[in-house]
Amino acid sequence: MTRLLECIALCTALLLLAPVASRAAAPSSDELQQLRDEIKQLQAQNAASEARIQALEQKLTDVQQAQEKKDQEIDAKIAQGAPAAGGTTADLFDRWFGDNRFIVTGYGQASYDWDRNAQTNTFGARFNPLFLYRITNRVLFEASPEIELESTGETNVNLENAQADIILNDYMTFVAGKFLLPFGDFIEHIEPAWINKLASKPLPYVEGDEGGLLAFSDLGVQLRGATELFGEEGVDLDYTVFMSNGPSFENSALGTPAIGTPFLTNNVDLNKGKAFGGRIGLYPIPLAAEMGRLRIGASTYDGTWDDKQGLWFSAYGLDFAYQLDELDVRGEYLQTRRQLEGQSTDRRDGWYLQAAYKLSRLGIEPFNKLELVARWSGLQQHGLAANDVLGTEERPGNPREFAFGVDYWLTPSVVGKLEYDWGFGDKVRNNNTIHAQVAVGF
Amino acid sequence: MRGMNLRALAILSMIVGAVVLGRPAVTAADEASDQEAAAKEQKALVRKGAREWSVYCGSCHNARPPGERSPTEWDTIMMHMRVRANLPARDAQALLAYLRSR
Repeated sequence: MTRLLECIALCTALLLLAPVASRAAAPSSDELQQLRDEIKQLQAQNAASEARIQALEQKLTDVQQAQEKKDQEIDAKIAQGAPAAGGTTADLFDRWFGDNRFIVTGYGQASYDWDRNAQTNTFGARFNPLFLYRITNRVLFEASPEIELESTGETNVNLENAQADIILNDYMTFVAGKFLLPFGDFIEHIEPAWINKLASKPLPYVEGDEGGLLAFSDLGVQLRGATELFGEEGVDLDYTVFMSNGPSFENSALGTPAIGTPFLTNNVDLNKGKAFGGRIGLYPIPLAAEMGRLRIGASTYDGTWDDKQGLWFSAYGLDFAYQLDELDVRGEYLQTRRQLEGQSTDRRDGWYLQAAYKLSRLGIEPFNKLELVARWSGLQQHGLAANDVLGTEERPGNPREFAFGVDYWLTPSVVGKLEYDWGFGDKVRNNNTIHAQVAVGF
Repeated sequence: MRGMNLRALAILSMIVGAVVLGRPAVTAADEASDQEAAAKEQKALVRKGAREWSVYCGSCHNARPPGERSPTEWDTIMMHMRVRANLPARDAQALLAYLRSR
């Protein structure tokens, strides 16, 4: 009975509450309007999004088309690289004489030099054309005369190099003729005025009677080449081995020249013995590391220097060069030993350390075209009576030099340089020199 | 015997015909494929040259802009630079490809 009463009460309650619940679930007209507004707003937003998507799709299509066009242009330019024999004079020349290409490049310089001790205050000029004649893709002939107006007023003409380069394979090139001495970093890599960041040369590499340690060129043959190591882009090894006429000094043919006499180019071999040398360069940093480019090099050069072919000249050198973004640091150490008849060995050491920094990151004209350069270089003479020979105003004994320069790069190969040098050495007063130079690589 | 010879000749002709007629189609496809592969390789070489240009050239001097010289002049200059700077052959080719492509 009780159970029946409970059921009746529950049914009654449900019947009473059902309309109330039904009334609570039905939205009001305001709410319906609000929902309609929200739906309209969402529809508008959806339409706007679709329009934006369409616009972006159009832009993407445009970019893709532009990229394809650019790729096609690059491909077309690449394809144009080897022009078909046609109606131009060059093509006619090619058909008759083969794949010849003759061009003139090189550099020129105009300079002003002021030297307190030497009491010089003069302008100068130098012109170094480089003639390149490509006979085939494996054979090149190159020659460079050096024409210089000296401070004495005389015009000095010198054949800097004249050589045939024959590419034997990917790893070996044969060179014959008069070539720049493959020793160290300075001579082969940075000597041209538009490349050398200072107007002057470091003390071990001043030329001729100014007392440098090595001649800049020699006559003979070379084998040289390079290869990538470990399959890593940028990790390279290069080598050069050569045989040449060898070293010569002032008065070599007349007997035994004294310690410290200048080094001359051996255009005519004084003896039957040849000189031998080699150079090896290692680039240990992979390109992908983005840590700059470092080269470490070692060089040797050995040969008899006297007319009796009994006295040896030996040289070795170590060098490095490192570039990272705007920074360029390089340096060399070299030592030469020359046997002398009846005297102790004539030993000379030379070195330089150079740092340069481009201000291009400043982004402010004209300062972003400036480059600051500093160099310390020196020579040390060992052996008997060294300071009796070296100790003149022109060639101070054991000289040292600090050089500071500011370069202004008009283009990558046109530069204006201003340099101040502070030099000192044994038995001479300190010297100050100023060099200004405009160099043009062409 | 004669009929046999004729049959052999017919079979031989068919084989030769199939080889002769079939060959140009295969060669053309191969050539297209080769050209595509060569174009891809050339593009990769240009990109390698673009990566190396400022780093390799800049290790001695300011890198000269590609537009400064004509493609044929770059051929000669890069041959000179390959010898002077002792560049690996593949890198010299990549630099040349980049300099010529602009």
